[in-house]
Amino acid sequence: MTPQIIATFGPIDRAETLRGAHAAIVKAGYDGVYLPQSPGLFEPLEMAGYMAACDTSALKYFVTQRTGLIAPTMCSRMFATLDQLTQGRIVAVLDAESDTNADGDTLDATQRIPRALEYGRIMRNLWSADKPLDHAGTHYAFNKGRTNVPPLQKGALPLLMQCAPDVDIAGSAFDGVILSGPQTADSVARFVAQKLVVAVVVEDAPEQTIATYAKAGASTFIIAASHADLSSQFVERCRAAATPKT
Amino acid sequence: MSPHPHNPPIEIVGLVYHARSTEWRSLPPSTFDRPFIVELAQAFERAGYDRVLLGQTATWPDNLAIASTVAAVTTNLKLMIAQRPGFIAPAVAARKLATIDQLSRGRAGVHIITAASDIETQCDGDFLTKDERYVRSYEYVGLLRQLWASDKPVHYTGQHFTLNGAAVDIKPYNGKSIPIFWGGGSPNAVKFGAERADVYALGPGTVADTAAQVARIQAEADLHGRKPRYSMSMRVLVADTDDAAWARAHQLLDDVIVNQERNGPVGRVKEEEAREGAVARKLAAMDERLDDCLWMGVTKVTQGRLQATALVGSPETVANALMAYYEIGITNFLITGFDPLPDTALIGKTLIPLLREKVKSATYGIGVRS
Repeated sequence: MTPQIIATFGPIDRAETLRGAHAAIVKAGYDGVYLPQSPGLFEPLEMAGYMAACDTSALKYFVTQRTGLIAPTMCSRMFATLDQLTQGRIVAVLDAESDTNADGDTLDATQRIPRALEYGRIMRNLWSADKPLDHAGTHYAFNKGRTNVPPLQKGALPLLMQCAPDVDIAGSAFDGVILSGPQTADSVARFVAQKLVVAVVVEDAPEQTIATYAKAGASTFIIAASHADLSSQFVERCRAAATPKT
Repeated sequence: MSPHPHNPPIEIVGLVYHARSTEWRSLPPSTFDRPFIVELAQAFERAGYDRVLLGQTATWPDNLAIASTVAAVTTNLKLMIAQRPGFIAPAVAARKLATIDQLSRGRAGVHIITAASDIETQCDGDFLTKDERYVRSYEYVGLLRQLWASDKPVHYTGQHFTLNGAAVDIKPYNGKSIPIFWGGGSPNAVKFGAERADVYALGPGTVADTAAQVARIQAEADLHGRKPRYSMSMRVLVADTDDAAWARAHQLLDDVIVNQERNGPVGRVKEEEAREGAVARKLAAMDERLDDCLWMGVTKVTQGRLQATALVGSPETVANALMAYYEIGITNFLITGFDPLPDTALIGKTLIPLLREKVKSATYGIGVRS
């Protein structure tokens, strides 16, 4: 898989800063932008919908939603609509790592994983269903759920889970994982061995870190906002580091 | 009668849909027309509309995503984003709406719809009854406002929601709140909506029926010392003269009937519909003319599955008809035509300037008038 170098926004507090930062990321040659979801940040889906309106580049949007806070049927429509609005440039990220109890969720870190697996399966099924679906699962139940307008990428819309490195997603609806924080090469390699996409968040010593993870098989490198560099030279150096020498 | 300098301003509201579907030309429900969304939103802005409604159902494309795009391609047009409480946690909804409000520089509004149909809410996994849903919507709106206003994390234990220190750091553009629209006519809808709504949204009706509804809601709102604005949705069918407008109405009805014969029922299907008798229904429908120019034609042939009740006539006739609603307390007019792009331009050119002029000298009042 061709390596991807993904940017993260610094603080965004209004439309002008978003437009400016977005233009700078496109200009620097990043392959995408990662939009995490957090109480202190503008909401990712709405940012992507706003940026998509005036963006004709190939920039991908890694749009994050924490599970347990939005009905999966509705979330399926959100990602599908956004994929239409961005002309097929959405990577859907379900964040099962962040604690959601403050917002009213009652599950803990361990319980969030099976729920995210069910959530991902529901979305995947709705994206490719040609008729309404009934569902009666462990965490969710609905009658005749429907996503009238499927994603532009249809059933192939990439779906990643943001989770801890010891989580098992083999055989699930997810295409891969986003791992935040420092990782061991072994934990990267374990997912890669299961033919899963591994995206890692890179902070310190970006090029060196990227080279290490790339060697272990990671393909997507998210440069943390704290280490953002909007020069095209930086992006090229990251890209070179991400391409394992043969 | 002397002019009334303190008459409340009117707000003209349009509707952004995601496909070029109309009552007379159905497209498959999977149709999504991104360029059309942009074109239509900009057409409303150009026509002098103040705001657009973005609808939400259990099957349509997501309106928060669409609203974000509409915000980016317009400058002054405000938004009325329909939301059914129960599917997004209140703190997340508060952040989403505040994000759109920030990105649009204060143009967001949220329309709380509590869903008329149990069947529809069950599609998204909600199994409450309608009465229970209104209690939840009441709680939801209270939380949205509290979360927007609070500088500290919010702890809350209610009937339907629990918050354990939820923080909403993204505040509305004005630092306080976002306008809350609210719809519904059942006893619980009125009881809870009258206390919560900034704008109470009504469907179409005769002037007398609308006045009675406004009076009923305002009586409830008075208990809480509130004076919501009142909104009414109404289709309009305008042409140069009254005769030309009624000719359009006849043609429209024919087209809707043909479309339904070819493509099946238009609107949200509530029950199986017998196909025969379409012509008989047309004749019956053409008799359905209430007040001076309130026409139920399309409503009748589509068995009330959609909001198609219309005022028909010249711009002067329709403007006068709408002013009759202003005089009983309606200040927000959700008025759309039947052919989205041309009708939006026509309404902007002919009807909206007339309305704004007539408001200056109208006699505004709340509720039933003698």
